[in-house]
Amino acid sequence: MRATSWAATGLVAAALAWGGAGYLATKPTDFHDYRVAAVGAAQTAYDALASADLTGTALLAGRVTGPYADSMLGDARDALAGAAKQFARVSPPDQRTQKMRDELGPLLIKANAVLPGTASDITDKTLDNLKPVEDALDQFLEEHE
Amino acid sequence: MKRLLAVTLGILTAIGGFVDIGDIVSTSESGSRFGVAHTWVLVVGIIGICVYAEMSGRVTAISTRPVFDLIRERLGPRIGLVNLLGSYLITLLTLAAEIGGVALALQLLSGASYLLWVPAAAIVLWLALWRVKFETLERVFGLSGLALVVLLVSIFWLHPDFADLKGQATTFSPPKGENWPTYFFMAIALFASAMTPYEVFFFSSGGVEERWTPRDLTISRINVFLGFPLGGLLAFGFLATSAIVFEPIGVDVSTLGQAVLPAGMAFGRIGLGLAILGVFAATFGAAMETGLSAGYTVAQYFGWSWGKFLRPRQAARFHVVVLVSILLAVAALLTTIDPIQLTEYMLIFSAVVLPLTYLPILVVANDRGYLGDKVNGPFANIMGVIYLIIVVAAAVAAVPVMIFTGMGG
Repeated sequence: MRATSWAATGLVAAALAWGGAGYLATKPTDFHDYRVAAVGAAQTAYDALASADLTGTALLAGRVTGPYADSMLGDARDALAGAAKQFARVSPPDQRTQKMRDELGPLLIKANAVLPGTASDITDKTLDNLKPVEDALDQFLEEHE
Repeated sequence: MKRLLAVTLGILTAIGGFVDIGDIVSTSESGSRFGVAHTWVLVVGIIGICVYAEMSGRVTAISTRPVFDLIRERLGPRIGLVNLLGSYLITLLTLAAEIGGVALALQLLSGASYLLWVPAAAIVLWLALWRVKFETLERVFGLSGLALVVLLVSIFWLHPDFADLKGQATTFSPPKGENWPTYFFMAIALFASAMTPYEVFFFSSGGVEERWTPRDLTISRINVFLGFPLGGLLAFGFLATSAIVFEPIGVDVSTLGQAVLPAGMAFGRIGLGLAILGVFAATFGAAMETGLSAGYTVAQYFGWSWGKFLRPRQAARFHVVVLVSILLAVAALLTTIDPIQLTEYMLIFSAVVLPLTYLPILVVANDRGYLGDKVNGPFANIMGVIYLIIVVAAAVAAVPVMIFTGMGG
Protein backbone atom coordinates (compact mmCIF):
# COMPACT_ATOMS: atom_id res chain seq x y z
CA MET A 1 0.00 0.00 0.00
CA ARG A 2 1.33 3.45 -0.92
CA ALA A 3 1.94 6.18 1.58
CA THR A 4 -0.88 8.32 0.10
CA SER A 5 -3.35 5.42 0.45
CA TRP A 6 -2.28 4.96 4.09
CA ALA A 7 -2.73 8.68 4.70
CA ALA A 8 -6.19 8.68 3.07
CA THR A 9 -7.28 5.64 5.11
CA GLY A 10 -5.99 7.28 8.28
CA LEU A 11 -7.85 10.52 7.48
CA VAL A 12 -11.12 8.69 6.79
CA ALA A 13 -10.77 6.69 10.04
CA ALA A 14 -10.03 9.87 12.00
CA ALA A 15 -13.03 11.65 10.43
CA LEU A 16 -15.32 8.71 11.26
CA ALA A 17 -14.05 8.56 14.84
CA TRP A 18 -14.47 12.33 15.21
CA GLY A 19 -18.00 12.19 13.79
CA GLY A 20 -18.93 9.24 16.02
CA ALA A 21 -17.61 10.96 19.11
CA GLY A 22 -19.47 14.16 18.15
CA TYR A 23 -22.72 12.24 17.67
CA LEU A 24 -22.37 10.48 21.05
CA ALA A 25 -21.50 13.75 22.82
CA THR A 26 -24.46 15.70 21.43
CA LYS A 27 -27.12 12.97 21.26
CA PRO A 28 -30.11 13.93 23.46
CA THR A 29 -30.70 11.78 26.56
CA ASP A 30 -33.35 9.10 26.08
CA PHE A 31 -35.01 6.75 28.57
CA HIS A 32 -32.26 4.14 28.27
CA ASP A 33 -29.46 6.69 28.84
CA TYR A 34 -31.23 8.10 31.88
CA ARG A 35 -31.90 4.66 33.34
CA VAL A 36 -28.22 3.71 32.89
CA ALA A 37 -27.12 6.94 34.63
CA ALA A 38 -29.62 6.47 37.49
CA VAL A 39 -28.72 2.82 38.04
CA GLY A 40 -25.01 3.69 37.95
CA ALA A 41 -25.46 6.41 40.56
CA ALA A 42 -27.62 4.16 42.76
CA GLN A 43 -25.09 1.30 42.52
CA THR A 44 -22.21 3.62 43.46
CA ALA A 45 -24.18 5.01 46.42
CA TYR A 46 -25.14 1.51 47.54
CA ASP A 47 -21.51 0.33 47.26
CA ALA A 48 -20.35 3.32 49.32
CA LEU A 49 -22.88 2.75 52.12
CA ALA A 50 -22.47 -1.03 52.23
CA SER A 51 -18.66 -0.70 52.34
CA ALA A 52 -18.91 1.91 55.11
CA ASP A 53 -21.24 -0.48 56.95
CA LEU A 54 -18.78 -3.41 56.65
CA THR A 55 -15.86 -1.19 57.69
CA GLY A 56 -17.78 0.31 60.64
CA THR A 57 -18.81 -3.11 61.89
CA ALA A 58 -15.21 -4.32 61.62
CA LEU A 59 -13.96 -1.18 63.41
CA LEU A 60 -16.35 -1.61 66.33
CA ALA A 61 -15.21 -5.25 66.59
CA GLY A 62 -11.56 -4.05 66.69
CA ARG A 63 -10.72 -5.79 63.43
CA VAL A 64 -9.53 -2.74 61.45
CA THR A 65 -7.59 0.40 62.41
CA GLY A 66 -8.85 3.99 62.67
CA PRO A 67 -6.72 5.34 59.78
CA TYR A 68 -7.93 2.49 57.56
CA ALA A 69 -11.57 3.25 58.44
CA ASP A 70 -10.95 6.97 57.83
CA SER A 71 -9.56 6.15 54.41
CA MET A 72 -12.51 3.88 53.57
CA LEU A 73 -15.00 6.53 54.66
CA GLY A 74 -13.15 9.16 52.59
CA ASP A 75 -13.39 6.87 49.54
CA ALA A 76 -17.11 6.31 50.22
CA ARG A 77 -17.72 10.04 50.52
CA ASP A 78 -15.84 10.76 47.27
CA ALA A 79 -17.78 8.02 45.48
CA LEU A 80 -21.10 9.40 46.74
CA ALA A 81 -20.22 12.93 45.66
CA GLY A 82 -19.20 11.66 42.23
CA ALA A 83 -22.44 9.68 41.85
CA ALA A 84 -24.59 12.66 42.84
CA LYS A 85 -22.71 14.92 40.42
CA GLN A 86 -23.05 12.45 37.56
CA PHE A 87 -26.76 11.96 38.24
CA ALA A 88 -27.40 15.70 38.39
CA ARG A 89 -25.76 16.14 35.00
CA VAL A 90 -28.52 14.29 33.09
CA SER A 91 -32.05 15.67 32.81
CA PRO A 92 -35.06 13.34 32.71
CA PRO A 93 -36.44 13.21 29.14
CA ASP A 94 -39.96 12.00 30.01
CA GLN A 95 -42.42 11.31 32.83
CA ARG A 96 -41.12 7.81 33.61
CA THR A 97 -37.63 9.15 34.16
CA GLN A 98 -38.94 12.11 36.18
CA LYS A 99 -40.42 9.54 38.57
CA MET A 100 -37.05 7.83 38.69
CA ARG A 101 -35.37 11.14 39.56
CA ASP A 102 -37.94 11.84 42.30
CA GLU A 103 -37.16 8.42 43.83
CA LEU A 104 -33.37 8.49 43.58
CA GLY A 105 -32.64 12.18 44.25
CA PRO A 106 -33.80 12.12 47.91
CA LEU A 107 -32.06 8.76 48.45
CA LEU A 108 -28.72 10.21 47.38
CA ILE A 109 -29.21 13.16 49.76
CA LYS A 110 -30.10 10.75 52.59
CA ALA A 111 -27.08 8.58 51.80
CA ASN A 112 -24.82 11.59 52.13
CA ALA A 113 -26.45 12.56 55.43
CA VAL A 114 -26.15 9.14 57.11
CA LEU A 115 -22.57 8.36 55.99
CA PRO A 116 -20.23 8.87 58.98
CA GLY A 117 -17.59 11.56 58.40
CA THR A 118 -14.67 9.92 60.20
CA ALA A 119 -13.87 6.75 62.10
CA SER A 120 -14.56 8.50 65.42
CA ASP A 121 -18.18 9.10 64.31
CA ILE A 122 -18.83 5.39 63.96
CA THR A 123 -21.16 3.97 66.62
CA ASP A 124 -23.85 1.28 66.61
CA LYS A 125 -26.39 4.03 66.07
CA THR A 126 -24.67 5.53 63.02
CA LEU A 127 -24.40 2.05 61.52
CA ASP A 128 -28.12 1.44 62.20
CA ASN A 129 -28.89 4.63 60.30
CA LEU A 130 -27.12 3.27 57.21
CA LYS A 131 -29.32 0.18 56.90
CA PRO A 132 -32.67 1.73 55.75
CA VAL A 133 -30.94 3.83 53.06
CA GLU A 134 -28.94 0.81 51.90
CA ASP A 135 -32.15 -1.21 51.65
CA ALA A 136 -33.95 1.55 49.76
CA LEU A 137 -31.08 1.83 47.26
CA ASP A 138 -31.02 -1.93 46.86
CA GLN A 139 -34.74 -1.90 46.14
CA PHE A 140 -34.31 0.90 43.60
CA LEU A 141 -31.63 -1.17 41.86
CA GLU A 142 -33.83 -4.28 41.77
CA GLU A 143 -36.68 -2.29 40.23
CA HIS A 144 -34.68 -0.51 37.55
CA GLU A 145 -31.70 -2.72 36.70
CA MET B 1 23.09 -26.40 49.70
CA LYS B 2 23.93 -22.82 48.79
CA ARG B 3 22.64 -23.46 45.27
CA LEU B 4 19.38 -24.92 46.60
CA LEU B 5 18.91 -21.91 48.87
CA ALA B 6 19.44 -19.56 45.95
CA VAL B 7 16.90 -21.47 43.84
CA THR B 8 14.32 -21.46 46.68
CA LEU B 9 14.87 -17.77 47.27
CA GLY B 10 14.46 -17.14 43.54
CA ILE B 11 11.15 -19.02 43.46
CA LEU B 12 9.83 -17.23 46.55
CA THR B 13 10.82 -13.91 45.00
CA ALA B 14 9.05 -14.83 41.75
CA ILE B 15 5.90 -15.78 43.72
CA GLY B 16 5.86 -12.58 45.77
CA GLY B 17 6.83 -10.43 42.82
CA PHE B 18 4.17 -11.76 40.45
CA VAL B 19 1.23 -9.71 41.75
CA ASP B 20 0.91 -6.02 40.82
CA ILE B 21 -1.76 -3.31 40.89
CA GLY B 22 -3.34 -4.65 37.68
CA ASP B 23 -3.82 -8.09 39.21
CA ILE B 24 -5.16 -6.66 42.48
CA VAL B 25 -7.69 -4.34 40.80
CA SER B 26 -8.91 -6.72 38.09
CA THR B 27 -9.24 -9.78 40.35
CA SER B 28 -11.01 -7.87 43.15
CA GLU B 29 -13.45 -6.21 40.73
CA SER B 30 -14.13 -9.46 38.96
CA GLY B 31 -14.62 -11.37 42.23
CA SER B 32 -17.11 -8.83 43.57
CA ARG B 33 -19.23 -8.89 40.39
CA PHE B 34 -18.82 -12.38 38.96
CA GLY B 35 -17.82 -14.46 41.97
CA VAL B 36 -15.05 -16.87 41.01
CA ALA B 37 -16.51 -17.32 37.51
CA HIS B 38 -13.37 -15.84 35.92
CA THR B 39 -10.95 -18.28 37.56
CA TRP B 40 -10.44 -19.93 34.15
CA VAL B 41 -9.24 -16.60 32.69
CA LEU B 42 -6.65 -16.31 35.44
CA VAL B 43 -5.46 -19.86 34.65
CA VAL B 44 -5.31 -19.10 30.90
CA GLY B 45 -3.37 -15.87 31.59
CA ILE B 46 -0.88 -17.56 33.90
CA ILE B 47 -0.17 -20.35 31.40
CA GLY B 48 0.30 -17.66 28.72
CA ILE B 49 2.82 -15.65 30.71
CA CYS B 50 4.67 -18.89 31.56
CA VAL B 51 4.89 -19.82 27.85
CA TYR B 52 6.35 -16.45 26.83
CA ALA B 53 8.47 -15.85 29.95
CA GLU B 54 10.09 -19.24 29.39
CA MET B 55 10.93 -18.21 25.81
CA SER B 56 12.33 -14.86 27.00
CA GLY B 57 14.36 -16.53 29.75
CA ARG B 58 15.73 -19.08 27.28
CA VAL B 59 16.62 -16.40 24.72
CA THR B 60 18.47 -14.44 27.42
CA ALA B 61 20.24 -17.41 28.98
CA ILE B 62 21.48 -18.75 25.63
CA SER B 63 22.31 -15.47 23.86
CA THR B 64 23.22 -13.55 27.08
CA ARG B 65 21.35 -10.61 25.55
CA PRO B 66 17.93 -9.18 26.44
CA VAL B 67 14.94 -9.95 24.23
CA PHE B 68 14.25 -6.34 23.25
CA ASP B 69 17.80 -5.88 22.00
CA LEU B 70 17.38 -8.95 19.76
CA ILE B 71 13.95 -7.87 18.52
CA ARG B 72 15.43 -4.63 17.22
CA GLU B 73 18.33 -6.43 15.59
CA ARG B 74 16.24 -9.27 14.13
CA LEU B 75 13.19 -7.28 12.95
CA GLY B 76 14.86 -3.98 12.13
CA PRO B 77 14.58 -0.49 13.58
CA ARG B 78 11.11 0.28 12.12
CA ILE B 79 9.25 -2.66 13.66
CA GLY B 80 11.45 -2.26 16.74
CA LEU B 81 10.27 1.34 17.03
CA VAL B 82 6.59 0.36 16.84
CA ASN B 83 7.27 -2.24 19.52
CA LEU B 84 9.18 0.32 21.60
CA LEU B 85 6.40 2.95 21.40
CA GLY B 86 3.64 0.51 22.34
CA SER B 87 5.57 -1.11 25.15
CA TYR B 88 7.00 2.12 26.55
CA LEU B 89 3.64 3.92 26.70
CA ILE B 90 1.96 0.99 28.44
CA THR B 91 4.91 0.58 30.80
CA LEU B 92 4.66 4.29 31.63
CA LEU B 93 0.93 3.98 32.37
CA THR B 94 1.66 0.90 34.47
CA LEU B 95 4.39 2.76 36.36
CA ALA B 96 1.93 5.56 37.19
CA ALA B 97 -0.67 3.03 38.32
CA GLU B 98 1.89 1.21 40.52
CA ILE B 99 3.09 4.43 42.18
CA GLY B 100 -0.59 5.26 42.75
CA GLY B 101 -1.00 1.82 44.34
CA VAL B 102 1.96 2.44 46.67
CA ALA B 103 0.45 5.79 47.69
CA LEU B 104 -2.98 4.21 48.25
CA ALA B 105 -1.46 1.51 50.46
CA LEU B 106 0.25 4.24 52.51
CA GLN B 107 -3.08 6.10 52.74
CA LEU B 108 -4.69 2.96 54.18
CA LEU B 109 -1.94 2.75 56.80
CA SER B 110 -1.83 6.44 57.70
CA GLY B 111 -5.25 7.88 56.82
CA ALA B 112 -3.48 10.77 54.99
CA SER B 113 -4.51 11.38 51.35
CA TYR B 114 -2.66 9.32 48.74
CA LEU B 115 -1.83 12.51 46.84
CA LEU B 116 0.50 13.51 49.69
CA TRP B 117 2.26 10.15 49.40
CA VAL B 118 2.76 10.19 45.61
CA PRO B 119 5.85 12.48 45.55
CA ALA B 120 7.37 10.74 48.59
CA ALA B 121 6.85 7.29 47.05
CA ALA B 122 8.36 8.50 43.76
CA ILE B 123 11.47 9.93 45.46
CA VAL B 124 12.07 6.73 47.45
CA LEU B 125 11.52 4.71 44.27
CA TRP B 126 14.04 6.77 42.32
CA LEU B 127 16.62 6.61 45.14
CA ALA B 128 16.16 2.84 45.38
CA LEU B 129 16.62 2.43 41.62
CA TRP B 130 19.64 4.72 41.71
CA ARG B 131 21.49 3.36 44.73
CA VAL B 132 20.29 -0.11 45.78
CA LYS B 133 21.59 -3.32 44.20
CA PHE B 134 19.28 -5.07 41.72
CA GLU B 135 19.26 -8.37 43.63
CA THR B 136 18.52 -6.67 46.97
CA LEU B 137 15.54 -4.78 45.51
CA GLU B 138 14.15 -7.88 43.87
CA ARG B 139 14.52 -10.01 47.01
CA VAL B 140 13.18 -7.47 49.54
CA PHE B 141 9.99 -6.61 47.67
CA GLY B 142 9.43 -10.08 46.20
CA LEU B 143 9.66 -11.70 49.63
CA SER B 144 7.54 -9.00 51.34
CA GLY B 145 4.89 -9.57 48.66
CA LEU B 146 4.47 -13.05 50.14
CA ALA B 147 2.48 -11.35 52.94
CA LEU B 148 -0.43 -11.55 50.48
CA VAL B 149 -0.69 -15.23 51.43
CA VAL B 150 -2.95 -13.87 54.19
CA LEU B 151 -5.73 -13.45 51.58
CA LEU B 152 -5.40 -17.05 50.46
CA VAL B 153 -5.68 -18.26 54.07
CA SER B 154 -8.63 -15.86 54.59
CA ILE B 155 -10.57 -17.87 52.00
CA PHE B 156 -10.79 -20.72 54.52
CA TRP B 157 -11.20 -18.46 57.57
CA LEU B 158 -14.26 -16.73 56.10
CA HIS B 159 -16.07 -20.10 55.92
CA PRO B 160 -17.57 -19.75 52.43
CA ASP B 161 -19.92 -22.24 50.82
CA PHE B 162 -17.29 -24.15 48.85
CA ALA B 163 -19.92 -25.97 46.81
CA ASP B 164 -21.25 -22.60 45.69
CA LEU B 165 -17.74 -21.37 44.80
CA LYS B 166 -17.10 -24.57 42.85
CA GLY B 167 -20.37 -24.02 40.99
CA GLN B 168 -19.33 -20.46 40.08
CA ALA B 169 -15.87 -21.57 38.94
CA THR B 170 -17.31 -24.21 36.62
CA THR B 171 -20.00 -21.97 35.11
CA PHE B 172 -18.59 -20.26 32.04
CA SER B 173 -21.23 -17.56 31.75
CA PRO B 174 -22.14 -14.32 33.55
CA PRO B 175 -24.24 -14.61 36.72
CA LYS B 176 -27.77 -13.14 37.00
CA GLY B 177 -27.75 -9.35 36.69
CA GLU B 178 -24.59 -9.25 34.56
CA ASN B 179 -24.28 -9.45 30.76
CA TRP B 180 -21.91 -11.01 28.25
CA PRO B 181 -20.13 -7.82 27.12
CA THR B 182 -19.25 -6.95 30.73
CA TYR B 183 -18.19 -10.55 31.32
CA PHE B 184 -15.80 -10.31 28.36
CA PHE B 185 -14.59 -6.85 29.37
CA MET B 186 -13.60 -8.20 32.78
CA ALA B 187 -12.06 -11.31 31.17
CA ILE B 188 -9.88 -9.17 28.87
CA ALA B 189 -8.74 -7.00 31.81
CA LEU B 190 -7.86 -10.10 33.85
CA PHE B 191 -6.01 -11.70 30.94
CA ALA B 192 -4.08 -8.49 30.26
CA SER B 193 -3.17 -8.18 33.94
CA ALA B 194 -1.51 -11.61 33.83
CA MET B 195 0.32 -10.86 30.58
CA THR B 196 1.38 -7.21 31.07
CA PRO B 197 4.20 -6.51 28.54
CA TYR B 198 6.72 -5.20 31.06
CA GLU B 199 6.82 -8.59 32.78
CA VAL B 200 8.67 -10.35 29.96
CA PHE B 201 11.01 -7.44 29.23
CA PHE B 202 11.87 -7.15 32.91
CA PHE B 203 12.34 -10.90 33.27
CA SER B 204 14.70 -10.98 30.30
CA SER B 205 16.67 -7.83 31.19
CA GLY B 206 16.80 -9.02 34.81
CA GLY B 207 18.43 -12.20 33.51
CA VAL B 208 21.19 -10.10 31.94
CA GLU B 209 21.51 -8.07 35.18
CA GLU B 210 22.02 -11.35 37.04
CA ARG B 211 24.47 -12.52 34.35
CA TRP B 212 22.57 -15.63 33.28
CA THR B 213 24.43 -18.08 31.06
CA PRO B 214 23.21 -21.30 29.39
CA ARG B 215 23.91 -23.02 32.74
CA ASP B 216 21.11 -20.93 34.32
CA LEU B 217 18.44 -22.17 31.92
CA THR B 218 17.08 -24.65 34.46
CA ILE B 219 16.85 -22.00 37.19
CA SER B 220 15.04 -19.68 34.79
CA ARG B 221 12.54 -22.43 33.95
CA ILE B 222 11.98 -23.34 37.61
CA ASN B 223 11.30 -19.67 38.41
CA VAL B 224 8.79 -19.47 35.57
CA PHE B 225 6.98 -22.77 35.99
CA LEU B 226 6.85 -22.74 39.81
CA GLY B 227 7.11 -19.08 40.77
CA PHE B 228 4.59 -17.62 38.32
CA PRO B 229 1.73 -20.10 38.92
CA LEU B 230 2.20 -19.87 42.69
CA GLY B 231 2.26 -16.07 42.32
CA GLY B 232 -0.99 -16.39 40.37
CA LEU B 233 -2.44 -18.12 43.42
CA LEU B 234 -1.90 -14.89 45.38
CA ALA B 235 -3.95 -13.06 42.74
CA PHE B 236 -6.61 -15.74 43.13
CA GLY B 237 -6.70 -14.80 46.84
CA PHE B 238 -8.10 -11.37 45.88
CA LEU B 239 -10.57 -12.90 43.43
CA ALA B 240 -11.92 -15.44 45.91
CA THR B 241 -12.10 -13.20 48.99
CA SER B 242 -13.94 -10.48 47.04
CA ALA B 243 -16.28 -13.17 45.73
CA ILE B 244 -16.93 -14.38 49.28
CA VAL B 245 -17.40 -11.00 50.99
CA PHE B 246 -18.76 -8.60 48.36
CA GLU B 247 -20.53 -10.62 45.64
CA PRO B 248 -23.32 -11.97 47.90
CA ILE B 249 -24.27 -8.45 49.08
CA GLY B 250 -24.01 -6.95 45.57
CA VAL B 251 -21.16 -4.51 46.28
CA ASP B 252 -18.79 -3.72 43.39
CA VAL B 253 -15.18 -3.35 44.56
CA SER B 254 -13.63 -0.15 43.24
CA THR B 255 -10.99 0.76 45.85
CA LEU B 256 -7.85 -0.82 47.23
CA GLY B 257 -9.30 -0.50 50.75
CA GLN B 258 -12.20 -2.76 49.83
CA ALA B 259 -9.82 -5.30 48.27
CA VAL B 260 -7.94 -5.85 51.57
CA LEU B 261 -10.96 -5.69 53.89
CA PRO B 262 -11.60 -9.47 53.78
CA ALA B 263 -8.18 -10.04 55.42
CA GLY B 264 -9.24 -7.74 58.29
CA MET B 265 -12.58 -9.51 58.59
CA ALA B 266 -10.80 -12.85 58.81
CA PHE B 267 -7.76 -12.06 60.96
CA GLY B 268 -8.39 -8.62 62.45
CA ARG B 269 -5.78 -5.87 62.48
CA ILE B 270 -2.85 -8.26 61.96
CA GLY B 271 -4.50 -9.72 58.87
CA LEU B 272 -5.34 -6.27 57.55
CA GLY B 273 -1.79 -5.04 58.25
CA LEU B 274 -0.29 -8.02 56.41
CA ALA B 275 -2.58 -7.51 53.42
CA ILE B 276 -1.67 -3.81 53.23
CA LEU B 277 2.03 -4.65 53.61
CA GLY B 278 1.63 -7.19 50.80
CA VAL B 279 -0.07 -4.63 48.57
CA PHE B 280 2.64 -2.08 49.36
CA ALA B 281 5.43 -4.55 48.56
CA ALA B 282 3.69 -5.83 45.42
CA THR B 283 3.06 -2.35 44.02
CA PHE B 284 6.44 -0.93 45.05
CA GLY B 285 8.18 -3.97 43.60
CA ALA B 286 6.18 -3.59 40.39
CA ALA B 287 6.89 0.17 40.30
CA MET B 288 10.57 -0.71 40.50
CA GLU B 289 10.22 -3.27 37.71
CA THR B 290 8.24 -0.92 35.44
CA GLY B 291 10.61 1.98 36.14
CA LEU B 292 13.57 -0.17 35.16
CA SER B 293 11.68 -1.68 32.20
CA ALA B 294 11.04 1.82 30.84
CA GLY B 295 14.79 2.45 30.93
CA TYR B 296 15.65 -1.00 29.58
CA THR B 297 13.44 -0.79 26.48
CA VAL B 298 14.52 2.71 25.46
CA ALA B 299 18.22 2.11 26.14
CA GLN B 300 18.21 -1.27 24.40
CA TYR B 301 16.48 0.16 21.33
CA PHE B 302 18.99 3.00 20.95
CA GLY B 303 21.94 0.79 21.84
CA TRP B 304 22.94 2.75 24.96
CA SER B 305 24.68 1.12 27.89
CA TRP B 306 22.10 0.13 30.46
CA GLY B 307 21.48 -1.75 33.67
CA LYS B 308 22.08 -1.64 37.35
CA PHE B 309 25.12 -3.87 37.05
CA LEU B 310 26.89 -0.77 35.68
CA ARG B 311 27.69 2.31 37.75
CA PRO B 312 25.08 5.07 37.17
CA ARG B 313 27.78 7.20 35.53
CA GLN B 314 28.41 4.42 32.98
CA ALA B 315 24.70 4.19 32.12
CA ALA B 316 23.72 7.84 32.49
CA ARG B 317 21.15 7.92 29.65
CA PHE B 318 19.46 4.79 30.99
CA HIS B 319 19.11 6.43 34.42
CA VAL B 320 17.82 9.66 32.83
CA VAL B 321 15.05 7.69 31.06
CA VAL B 322 14.14 6.01 34.37
CA LEU B 323 14.02 9.38 36.14
CA VAL B 324 11.99 11.08 33.38
CA SER B 325 9.56 8.15 33.34
CA ILE B 326 9.04 8.45 37.11
CA LEU B 327 8.48 12.22 36.77
CA LEU B 328 5.91 11.68 33.98
CA ALA B 329 4.12 9.08 36.10
CA VAL B 330 4.01 11.46 39.09
CA ALA B 331 2.71 14.28 36.87
CA ALA B 332 -0.09 12.01 35.63
CA LEU B 333 -1.07 11.10 39.19
CA LEU B 334 -0.98 14.69 40.41
CA THR B 335 -3.71 15.55 37.90
CA THR B 336 -5.80 13.74 40.62
CA ILE B 337 -6.81 10.98 38.22
CA ASP B 338 -8.03 8.01 40.28
CA PRO B 339 -5.19 5.42 40.31
CA ILE B 340 -7.71 2.59 40.17
CA GLN B 341 -9.35 4.06 37.07
CA LEU B 342 -5.89 4.60 35.60
CA THR B 343 -5.18 0.91 36.22
CA GLU B 344 -8.39 -0.08 34.44
CA TYR B 345 -7.43 1.97 31.37
CA MET B 346 -3.88 0.63 31.53
CA LEU B 347 -5.16 -2.96 31.43
CA ILE B 348 -7.38 -2.37 28.41
CA PHE B 349 -4.69 -0.51 26.41
CA SER B 350 -2.20 -3.12 27.51
CA ALA B 351 -4.44 -5.75 25.90
CA VAL B 352 -4.33 -3.71 22.67
CA VAL B 353 -0.52 -3.74 22.44
CA LEU B 354 0.01 -7.34 23.58
CA PRO B 355 0.59 -8.66 20.03
CA LEU B 356 3.38 -6.09 19.55
CA THR B 357 5.17 -7.62 22.52
CA TYR B 358 4.56 -11.31 22.02
CA LEU B 359 4.84 -11.82 18.23
CA PRO B 360 8.48 -10.60 18.08
CA ILE B 361 9.39 -12.84 21.03
CA LEU B 362 8.00 -15.85 19.17
CA VAL B 363 10.02 -14.89 16.08
CA VAL B 364 13.28 -14.44 18.02
CA ALA B 365 12.74 -17.69 19.97
CA ASN B 366 12.70 -19.54 16.63
CA ASP B 367 15.92 -18.01 15.32
CA ARG B 368 18.79 -20.52 15.25
CA GLY B 369 21.24 -17.67 14.79
CA TYR B 370 20.63 -16.67 18.39
CA LEU B 371 19.55 -19.89 20.08
CA GLY B 372 21.25 -22.70 18.12
CA ASP B 373 19.59 -26.00 19.04
CA LYS B 374 17.67 -24.33 21.90
CA VAL B 375 15.07 -22.80 19.57
CA ASN B 376 11.39 -23.47 20.28
CA GLY B 377 10.37 -27.10 20.00
CA PRO B 378 7.00 -28.11 18.47
CA PHE B 379 5.19 -27.86 21.84
CA ALA B 380 6.52 -24.37 22.60
CA ASN B 381 5.54 -23.25 19.10
CA ILE B 382 2.03 -24.72 19.30
CA MET B 383 1.48 -23.02 22.66
CA GLY B 384 3.06 -19.81 21.39
CA VAL B 385 0.78 -19.70 18.34
CA ILE B 386 -2.35 -20.56 20.36
CA TYR B 387 -1.56 -17.72 22.77
CA LEU B 388 -0.78 -15.37 19.93
CA ILE B 389 -4.28 -16.02 18.55
CA ILE B 390 -5.79 -15.35 22.02
CA VAL B 391 -3.69 -12.22 22.41
CA VAL B 392 -4.77 -10.89 18.98
CA ALA B 393 -8.44 -11.66 19.77
CA ALA B 394 -8.13 -9.78 23.09
CA ALA B 395 -6.38 -6.86 21.35
CA VAL B 396 -9.09 -6.55 18.69
CA ALA B 397 -11.97 -6.84 21.17
CA ALA B 398 -10.55 -4.64 23.96
CA VAL B 399 -11.51 -1.13 22.79
CA PRO B 400 -14.95 -1.99 21.27
CA VAL B 401 -15.93 -3.85 24.45
CA MET B 402 -14.63 -0.97 26.57
CA ILE B 403 -16.78 1.54 24.63
CA PHE B 404 -19.82 -0.73 24.49
CA THR B 405 -19.84 -1.42 28.23
CA GLY B 406 -18.73 2.07 29.31
CA MET B 407 -15.58 0.64 31.00
CA GLY B 408 -17.42 -2.40 32.29
CA GLY B 409 -20.12 -0.32 33.97
